[in-house]
Amino acid sequence: MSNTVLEVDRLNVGFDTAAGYVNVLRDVSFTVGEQETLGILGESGVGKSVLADTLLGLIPSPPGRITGRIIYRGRDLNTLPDAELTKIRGKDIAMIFQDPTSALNPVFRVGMQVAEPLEIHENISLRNALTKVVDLFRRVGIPAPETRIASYPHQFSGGMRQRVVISMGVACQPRLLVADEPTSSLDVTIQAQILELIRDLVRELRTSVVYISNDLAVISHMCQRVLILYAGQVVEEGPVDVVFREPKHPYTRGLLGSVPRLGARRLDPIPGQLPTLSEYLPGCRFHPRCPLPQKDQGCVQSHPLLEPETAAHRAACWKVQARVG
Amino acid sequence: MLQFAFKRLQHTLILLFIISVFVFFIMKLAPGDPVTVMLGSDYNPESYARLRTELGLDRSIFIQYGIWISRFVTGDWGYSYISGAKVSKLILQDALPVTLFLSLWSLVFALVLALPSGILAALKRNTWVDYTGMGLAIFFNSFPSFYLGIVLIWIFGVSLGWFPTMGYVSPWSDPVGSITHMMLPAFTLGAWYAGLIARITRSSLVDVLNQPFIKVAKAKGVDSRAVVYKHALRNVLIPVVTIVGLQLGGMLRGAVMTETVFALPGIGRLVTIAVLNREYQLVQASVMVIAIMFIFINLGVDMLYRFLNPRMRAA
Amino acid sequence: MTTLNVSATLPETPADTQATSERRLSPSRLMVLRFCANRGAVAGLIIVLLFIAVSLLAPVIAPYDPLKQDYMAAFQGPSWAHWLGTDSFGRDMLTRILYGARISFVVGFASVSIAMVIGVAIGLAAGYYGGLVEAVLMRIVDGLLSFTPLVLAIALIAVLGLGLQNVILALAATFAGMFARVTRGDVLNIKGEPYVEAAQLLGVGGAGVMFRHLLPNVLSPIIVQFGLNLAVAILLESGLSFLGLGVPPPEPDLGLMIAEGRGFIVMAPWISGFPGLALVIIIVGLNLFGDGLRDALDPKAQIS
Repeated sequence: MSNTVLEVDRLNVGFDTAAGYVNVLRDVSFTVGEQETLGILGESGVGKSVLADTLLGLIPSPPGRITGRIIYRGRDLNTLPDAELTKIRGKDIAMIFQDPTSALNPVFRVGMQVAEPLEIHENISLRNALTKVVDLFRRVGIPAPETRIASYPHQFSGGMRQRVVISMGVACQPRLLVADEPTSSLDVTIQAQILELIRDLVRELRTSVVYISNDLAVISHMCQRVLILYAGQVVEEGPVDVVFREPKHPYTRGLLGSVPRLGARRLDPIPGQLPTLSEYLPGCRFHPRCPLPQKDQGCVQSHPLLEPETAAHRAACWKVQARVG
Repeated sequence: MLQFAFKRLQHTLILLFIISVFVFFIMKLAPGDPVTVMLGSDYNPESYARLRTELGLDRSIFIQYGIWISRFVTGDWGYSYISGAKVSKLILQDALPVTLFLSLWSLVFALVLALPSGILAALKRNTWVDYTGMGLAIFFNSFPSFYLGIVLIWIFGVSLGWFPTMGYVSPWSDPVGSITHMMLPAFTLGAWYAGLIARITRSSLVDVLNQPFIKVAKAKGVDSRAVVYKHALRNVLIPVVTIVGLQLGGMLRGAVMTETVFALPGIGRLVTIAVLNREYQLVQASVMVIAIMFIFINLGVDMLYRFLNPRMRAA
Repeated sequence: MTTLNVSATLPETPADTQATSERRLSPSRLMVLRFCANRGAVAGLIIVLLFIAVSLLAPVIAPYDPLKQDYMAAFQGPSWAHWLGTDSFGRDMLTRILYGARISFVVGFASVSIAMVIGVAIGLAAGYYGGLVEAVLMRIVDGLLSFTPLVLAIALIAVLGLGLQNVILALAATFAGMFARVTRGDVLNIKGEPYVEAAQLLGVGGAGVMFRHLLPNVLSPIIVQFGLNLAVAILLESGLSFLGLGVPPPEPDLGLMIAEGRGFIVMAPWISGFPGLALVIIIVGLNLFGDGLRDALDPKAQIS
């Protein structure tokens, strides 16, 4: 991973709501390397989708408030004017969305919807773009692409619709693909097919990927590195196989313990609940649920950071760091 | 699509039959003997019997319906007792064009006023622009058209003297005069519709802008203007057309009132005077014509809805 | 890769505090809360309550007799003696407007209530029995509705004649169709629910199923329809009276008063102006109230 495609530095995202300011992401930092697939794993409600939207500059402001830097090719996307961002979106950085049913505009033919980024970014006519769409459809495994480009979204099955959404994401051969739980709304059998498709495409296009999911198996299947998100903060980061084999952070350990495994006698769910985003906890956000025996004032009062850059596998926990250091 | 059109046609024919039965039997319940009314001072037993046979009133009620409906279909709608003119001429040649002209102008007014303000309110939602716009919309939507008409006559007609306040001028004979004469009536009738359309446009645009496919469009690199005018607006039109269609009855209600306030000789005014004069044949034919018109306009709206909404086309 | 061979999804945790707290409330409390959070709806409710109070108390609070003519006092502008002036017969406008609101109230509530009873019965029967019963009933309803309310009312007035009772009947007939359509639609939606089928299997008769099981579950849209139709009924009644096809003079009807003042719009604008204003306030109030009711009762509107 010599070259870095995207660098996210101390990203904070919050919203002004009727009930006051809500901080969704806190000091999130990570990098995505060339041709690397980075997984972002977390429960629903930890801010994964907000992170995906932030990377593409899709958070409206107000009510959103974003600080920190998102460096892509030497430019900070967070301070870039919208007109400039528009040129990057869909071309350099593209997104694959969660629910293919609502991601497609019901009143336009799918061919036109997939052709749109080509029209915009490659400055070609709709007719020329559509011939490319036919190729794209063939590549993503949509049968009879010549006729299917004229169909409307409701005329496709869920799995086919997700293929359309994927073809839309890769239409301009982006350098970075943000995939926001692309299989979570699909049947299990179709999930596997779509995962294979994404993996093949990523390899073919040599694209870097930020893969967001709440599914441990999917992450371990798709990604080289993983970032564990808890209550808007990164609690652990490292190569997927290392993190899943030897989790450092008590939360990650808890997660792996709550996964049903063949042969395991019983599940150990993590006691307690995810703190709501509007609750402000000064110390480690996990400390009320932390199973480690020797919690102290440090855990309650000051917020732990990830271990220094030098380590490939890092956790944000006072206890883990104390033991290692 | 063809199959749907056929089904709708079938449904329309059944509806037409039902309304004709309604109209016929309601008018049968009318008090007084039509023969006596029609004869007036010429009354004597022989002419009474003659006219009764002529009208088929001595036959069974079903045959009477048959006679009436066949006469209606062939365009023989009888004569007005008061003016002596053919009912078909009074309705189709004199009154209907006035009402259609008024309605068309009002619809233009309503759309021109309502669509931009609805869009603006949605884009600037929860600002003073939104609150003012929607306040006005609810206000106009609640303003009875006959009262609004009087207020407009008072302000723009009498006090300021900008527009004529009474009567109809045919667009064929005097195009400019016809427009100035239509200004106040069209605004009166259009205001109610405009209030409604603006509210629907706003709420449905707010709704659509929150849909994931709008975010997808932005993520593709579509600029924010095209996101609203290309991706959102087409979806907004679906509920707008639905409501516009559903509320055509309200439009007609407004048209009847507006015609009376501005002394426009349209079909609403015609039927009102006919009821007051107890001209049942005229009432009967007018009501039939209005209902038929309404059914066909609804059919048109339904077709438009299907055209705009691809999900409905397959069904 | 790792040893995870079973697909494992992490638990779903609600992110939004509001969503969790809303879930803990009972539906009816939630409805009241949603209604009260809507400023327009509360304003509408206040207007509606005032309107009802005025209608009930008109004989007590009105300063004059609504029908008593006094030619010496004709065409007086607003003054301490006559707050809203007098009309061409010297009758006190305030008094007539208070009584006019009473007529609007009576006609509105009576016609929409009658329409609701008849329409809901037709809708329940059509939705529950289906088949030929449904086909016949709903075609009749379609026919009724294709006249549009005003034209049907005019046609009925033509044969029934003028007067308060006939206006009520004519309006009731026009609104019954709307109630029938709404009720039937919702009955069809819930007819396949297990509790309905269970009741049928237990041998509950048609009437029992319709009134004990179906009716309570389609009540909200019916209530919403009631609120929205009330405004239309009052608008139609005043419109009919304005045309001379409703309540005959010298009754203090708002539509009639507006019509009577038309001729004096330049010299005495208050004669049309104040009754019209009263009517606008009533309709705005009912519309705001009706919209608020719809938003509070309709679960789909929850987000906004």
